[in-house]
Amino acid sequence: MRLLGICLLSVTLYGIGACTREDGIPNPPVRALVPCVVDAAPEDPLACPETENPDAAGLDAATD
Amino acid sequence: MTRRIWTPAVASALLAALSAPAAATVDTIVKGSVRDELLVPVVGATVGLYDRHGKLLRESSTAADGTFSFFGIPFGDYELRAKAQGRTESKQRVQASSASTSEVELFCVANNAVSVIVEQREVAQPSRAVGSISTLGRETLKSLPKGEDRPITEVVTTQPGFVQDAFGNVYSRGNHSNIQYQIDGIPIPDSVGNLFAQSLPVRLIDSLEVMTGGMPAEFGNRLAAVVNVNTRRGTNSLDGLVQLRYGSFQTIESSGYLSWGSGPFSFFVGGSFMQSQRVLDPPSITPILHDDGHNARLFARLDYAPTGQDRIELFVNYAKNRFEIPIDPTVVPLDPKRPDLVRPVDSFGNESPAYVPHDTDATETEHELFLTLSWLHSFGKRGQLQIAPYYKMSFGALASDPAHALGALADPGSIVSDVTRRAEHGGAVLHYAVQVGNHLIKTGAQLNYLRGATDYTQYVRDDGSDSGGVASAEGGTDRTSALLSGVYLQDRWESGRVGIQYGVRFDLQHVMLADGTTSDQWGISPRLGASLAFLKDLVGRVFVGVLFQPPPPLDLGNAARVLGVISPTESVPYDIKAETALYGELGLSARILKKVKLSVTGWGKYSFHQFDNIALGATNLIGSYNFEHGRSVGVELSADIVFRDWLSGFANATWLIAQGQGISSAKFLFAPDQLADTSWQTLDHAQTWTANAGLTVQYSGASVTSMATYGSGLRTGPTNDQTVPHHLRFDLTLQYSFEKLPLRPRLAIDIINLFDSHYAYRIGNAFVGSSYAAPRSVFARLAIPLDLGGTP
Repeated sequence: MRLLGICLLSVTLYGIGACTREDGIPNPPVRALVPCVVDAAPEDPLACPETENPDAAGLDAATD
Repeated sequence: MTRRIWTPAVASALLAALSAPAAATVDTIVKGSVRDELLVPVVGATVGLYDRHGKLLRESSTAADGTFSFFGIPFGDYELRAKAQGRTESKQRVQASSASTSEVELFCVANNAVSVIVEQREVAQPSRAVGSISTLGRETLKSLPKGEDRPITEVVTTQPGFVQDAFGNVYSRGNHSNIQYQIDGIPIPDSVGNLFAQSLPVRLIDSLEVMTGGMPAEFGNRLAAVVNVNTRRGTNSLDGLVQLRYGSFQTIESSGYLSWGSGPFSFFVGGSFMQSQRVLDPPSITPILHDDGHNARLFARLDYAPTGQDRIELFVNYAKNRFEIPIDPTVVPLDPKRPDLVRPVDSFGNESPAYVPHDTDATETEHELFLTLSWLHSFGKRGQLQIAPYYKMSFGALASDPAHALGALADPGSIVSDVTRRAEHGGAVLHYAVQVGNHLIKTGAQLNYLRGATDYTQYVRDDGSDSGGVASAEGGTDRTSALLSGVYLQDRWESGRVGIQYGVRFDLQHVMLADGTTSDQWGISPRLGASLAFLKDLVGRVFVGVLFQPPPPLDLGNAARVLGVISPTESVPYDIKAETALYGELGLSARILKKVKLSVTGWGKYSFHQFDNIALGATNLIGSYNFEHGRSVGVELSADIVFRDWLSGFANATWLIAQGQGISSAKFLFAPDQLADTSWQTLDHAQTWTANAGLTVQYSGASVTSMATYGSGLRTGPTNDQTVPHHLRFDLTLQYSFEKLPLRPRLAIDIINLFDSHYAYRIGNAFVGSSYAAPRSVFARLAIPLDLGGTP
């Protein structure tokens, strides 16, 4: 009985103490925006969006 | 000197019973013999069949050969007691499976004989049923981690052949959903939400059978697996329980039940209310954004047995779920000033989901009501009849909060929808069973009328405004009704070492759409299985059959409206077809030294118009479609072990491959390249390896249960050709009953994911959204039993 009580208490304290805490850092990590790929196929997720001025998009534009 | 052996085969009621191959019907036969110390049959002995509370259910006398038989017994845990004048009373516990006849041997020795009583705990004998069935008794269910608060879906995943997914979804043997839940012999119709199965609380269950293959002909409609629930009924004493559970994610749940019986009446009522800050499995482990919710459950069973031949049961189950749709915190908004920046793909090549503004308050609310009135009548030796009309209302409302969801930071071109689904089912089932010699013949019919309606409004973002907002809103209502009917005839014949089960069923579904078009689909499903007991403790079995499943009439339309892939002014094409599968399995089960039972099952399936489902983002909604063909194969290993009287365990492992070829319906849900792919694709709900193991220590009111779960990972990647990382999770539960304290409280501590494994059920691709499992979480349960006595 006493042993079981100690076990219960120990496990409870361990469980509560070791719970995952939110630290404000997303897990998995945030997907920061990346430069689009000019010559990617249109269905490629990294393809540059269609714009009125093609020169405004793409790797060159991003690094200008 | 006479040696008396009295062996209460307690094994069946304990964890050892976690796996037993078989086939199944709702009622079964318990038979056996009474003999004396010289193994001579005892004629005229009185044999009583008692429930686990000690209530006498049936009584019979042994025939000239000392045998007795009880027919029409619902599966579950029982105790048999035999008495004869001038002889000692003999008792034996038995766990009756609906899949095969349970046989017991009782020994009533002369009062003046010297006897030796041997009590030992054993694993159950291998079942002689022809299919794959696991039977879980009440004590087993209570000892699992989370105890009676464990959703039925999580109980099911401890069995071989099942894969667990996010939101509590479970998949059996390569099938996506299509699990048939059956309560007291009555199949539960489809829901418009997927949480109904989770609304069936374990505390409502007296015993549970899980069938993953070799289903008899009485089962149709949904054949991925059958979860056969035998609900609790009131006992002679007034008893009950109140419980409070509190733990991680600010989860708090109050629950309780009360039961009583007197004369021909008995009742069992209960309910629960739970709220938490983590209801659905969200797209990230931390932080959890917008995942609060609550659910409520109410259930009641009233029994009235006016005569020894009649029993009327009223069963009601109501469930409400309300939850927020989780938001993915890892997705960032696009920068309108930098159109050259796009979201990256993940390490699997998956495209990022769209950004959902963090003030979006999208919610899903579901109501489920199921009620049935069942009448059972015994004609004695001429059989037993069950007639059960039922009604089910299913309601689900997805509210997208367009004002915020289409706000300033939302992606250009975003579309969201409010979709409210209603489905009402009215129907009835009829079963008739009769025992003729060694045959158990069963026939029956089912009729189900469905009336469904889906109200939808589709909102398009105002991309011309810097603050976004709703540019246009269009909506409408889809109406669908369907009539489903089925009839079956089956026979189970057992003689000596051989058991044969055969049967056939016919199903017809007539679907009526609002535009006047109809769809009729029907199928014939012959099934044949056999078992052979090579030895008393070594049983082999084989099953072949056709499995016809009519399509769910509402899923497809609902999915189209939620995704907004069909113009609000157009009708949703209904082209989904019934699945017809050729199915076969082989199994072998052996008990070694009465302490260990090992089973192996191999199965295979080839399907025409194989069902599959597409999941709708971070919600728990699905849309159905067909592959032209499907194929799957698997091997399952399981072991039940009793180490000591106080220590038992189980383990199982499953290997499977499930593939589909050529999307053949609901093509509006898919991209052209997906439709053009006619190669065999591994299904996204298939997991190559799944394993479970559990260990339970029980000693003087205390129990410790640990469970381990392994999964090699569900599919991910742009073409579903990769898997998410494998995972291994441990759960631990400690329980103790303080019998000497006032009110005799019971305390339990549940630690889920003991070693804080961070893993994903899903990593989102074009087919599903991301869902991560909970990190280590702790819950405490305090229960007070209400043992108020009453008429014995």
